[in-house]
Amino acid sequence: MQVIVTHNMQQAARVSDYTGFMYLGKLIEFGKTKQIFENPHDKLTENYITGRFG
Amino acid sequence: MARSKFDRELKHLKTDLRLMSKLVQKNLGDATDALRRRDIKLSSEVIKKDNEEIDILYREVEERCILCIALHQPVAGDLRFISTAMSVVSNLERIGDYAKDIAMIVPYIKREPPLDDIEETLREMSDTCILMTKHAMNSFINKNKNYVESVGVDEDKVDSLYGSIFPKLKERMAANPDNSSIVLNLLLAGRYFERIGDHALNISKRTMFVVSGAWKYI
Repeated sequence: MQVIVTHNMQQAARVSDYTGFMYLGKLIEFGKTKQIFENPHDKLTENYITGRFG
Repeated sequence: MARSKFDRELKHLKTDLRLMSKLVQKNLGDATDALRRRDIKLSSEVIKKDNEEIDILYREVEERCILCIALHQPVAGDLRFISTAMSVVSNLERIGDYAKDIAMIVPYIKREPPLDDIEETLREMSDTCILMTKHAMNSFINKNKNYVESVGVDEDKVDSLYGSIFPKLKERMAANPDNSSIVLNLLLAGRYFERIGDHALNISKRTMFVVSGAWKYI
């Protein structure tokens, strides 16, 4: 298993099976990459991956 | 910066969808009026508006969605909204086509006497379909499920009204075969309204997907 840390959303979506979204040192959401990018459960995750803040 | 450009694109997309929804609703009401009053001029206007405004807007909305995907690579709720908009706009365009089909019946029944009870039922079907289209489109554009249930209830109502005219028309035709032209044409109109109800329901079902991220059938 390998872990990569990135701010590049396309790269994260392309290469990973699972994605964790961390913000200010806290793990906000973790799940299958498909779920995180298609239907994130946390509003903060959604706002970050859709570019509402960065 | 990139997000604000994307937000502007989304705003334009929603404006076009609102405009198209209003045009389709208006055309549907006009087609029904033309049918009831045997108004050839109004029926021609409906056909013209479908070809020259609604169909063109349909292609523009589709193109806008494709551009959004290509340029902004949307994800999550944005991706669900844009990909669903392509399907919603196709359902809306079909509703517009049925309004045109209803208008195209008018010349064939121009000299036929009215069948008041049937034509009043068709009017009720039309009013319900217009309301369904309005509610389904507003729910989709505003990403809420406020009207999803009522669209489902109205779809059952349209189906039941269609079911009610069928035996009546059959009876009229059996009683007098000279009625066959008006009977068949009104049956066709009824069928078109019934299909419009199905398309409005499709829009509502897809709205559920946009809002919840999962397929939940009504």
